[in-house]
Amino acid sequence: MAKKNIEEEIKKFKLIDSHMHLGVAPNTLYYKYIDERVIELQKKFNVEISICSHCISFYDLEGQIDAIKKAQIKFGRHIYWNLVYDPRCLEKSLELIDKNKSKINFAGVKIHPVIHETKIDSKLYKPLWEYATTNNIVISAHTWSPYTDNPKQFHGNPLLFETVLKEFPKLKIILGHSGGKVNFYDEVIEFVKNHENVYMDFSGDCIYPPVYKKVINKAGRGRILFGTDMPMMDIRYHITSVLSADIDDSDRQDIFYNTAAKLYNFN
Amino acid sequence: MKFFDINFWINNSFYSEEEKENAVVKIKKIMEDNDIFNLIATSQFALDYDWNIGNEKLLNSNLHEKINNLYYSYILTPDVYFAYDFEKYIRKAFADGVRLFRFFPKHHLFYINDYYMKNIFGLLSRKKFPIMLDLKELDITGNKYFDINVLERILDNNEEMPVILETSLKQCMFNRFYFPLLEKYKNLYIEISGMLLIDQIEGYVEKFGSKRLIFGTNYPNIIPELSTNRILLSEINESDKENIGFNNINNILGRIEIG
Repeated sequence: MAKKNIEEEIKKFKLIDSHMHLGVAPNTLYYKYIDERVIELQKKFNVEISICSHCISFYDLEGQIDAIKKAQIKFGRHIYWNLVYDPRCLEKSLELIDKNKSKINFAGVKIHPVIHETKIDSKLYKPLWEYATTNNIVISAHTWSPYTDNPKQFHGNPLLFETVLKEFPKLKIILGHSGGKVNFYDEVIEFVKNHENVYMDFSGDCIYPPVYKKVINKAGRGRILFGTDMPMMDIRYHITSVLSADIDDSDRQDIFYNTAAKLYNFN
Repeated sequence: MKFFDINFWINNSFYSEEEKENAVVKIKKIMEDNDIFNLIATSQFALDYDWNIGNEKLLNSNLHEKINNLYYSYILTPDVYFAYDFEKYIRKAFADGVRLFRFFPKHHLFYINDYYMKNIFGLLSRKKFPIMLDLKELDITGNKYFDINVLERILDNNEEMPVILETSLKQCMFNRFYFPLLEKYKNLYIEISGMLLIDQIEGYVEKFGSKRLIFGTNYPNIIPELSTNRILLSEINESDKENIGFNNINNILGRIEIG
């Protein structure tokens, strides 16, 4: 790749970060953490809209509402919020989502099958699939490769959505991290190719620029959303990754903004 | 801004002259495209199959002769201590272009502080020869809990040996071993390719100064642009960027006393 001045190059694009968080990530060693720094870095790299689930949400369903309201006051309406569904407290989760979605800058629902130790195809998610289908809500799911040493990640195998989508074909799903491992991407791309309402984000620590071209060639345009997983990650890696990819600028703009804008009806 | 990449993996077999030549062209292009002026290459074969055969393959690639400022790192196991006269081994390795030794005790099933390793480290310390360790190779539980005591003993006993820790698997995001180790041991350094946490590089520079971080790409697992741009885009001053990108490792290598 020819050398690029990333700071100059990124000015050509506007961005939606469809996978980020505020609050400290679980059990993570920060030297200094403040929410303001996350937002500052996002703005520096032209992120116009952030789709956020608060880190506390995965552990404290009620606490998330308070955290979101405070952040909304502090940071305004460029942040849209995913509310978390915990399948182990499904009634409470749905009640909180239903009660609060009109009171906050609501984006959709986030699930984390690994933290909640519940497989994606568990019946405990079924009430959410029904609710999301009825209300046309986008689901963002943490997904990970089963080719890993950590057995908890088996819960998040994105291919488990196969049976879910047979019953709920209209569900709109974002595969957070897209399975997370390079050696698993081919299977995930094949899966996405066969399901028109399934999208990929490459947030997180598996930063692999060649994957963008592969997805576009195999599954078509408009299937990738830009995501970072901040503050677990540093946005500078993800920006460089998209700008380094062997794709044209219209594809880059789709990834950075257009696909998420269309999916979430931000236009 | 120029870079010195200490974590560049080579997975070529080098069976034919054509393959060797192709590797030269490819590596030169990567170096040129990314302002990597100096590079230390490691054989993937030495990790996956056999340390000695992999190192030999790397040496026989002649990359050191064909590419300016390309050096080798050898992967070692304790076997090197009884298979060779280690003093002579180091001298020959240095003459052949080796500037770093790497150890993978979990992968290669040995105890990092056994009788042989103590002697290996002792000799390397006297020569101020740097080593690189992947902390996850000290994971005795399989659950990212590292045998830090053994690392402390190595650092305590070999104060003159620069020890560079890799940062693969996001270890330095989740564990709390690094800060106290860096506080205590001045011969400890961190290679940056896995420092993915928000502002992590800036935080380490603020807390420990820029002289404790060393540039590496972990190519081909991570493309070089990601690591070079992370430094270029970091919010630290230019001299700190230059220290991390090039000067720190260059200074360490300049202090080797091969004898």
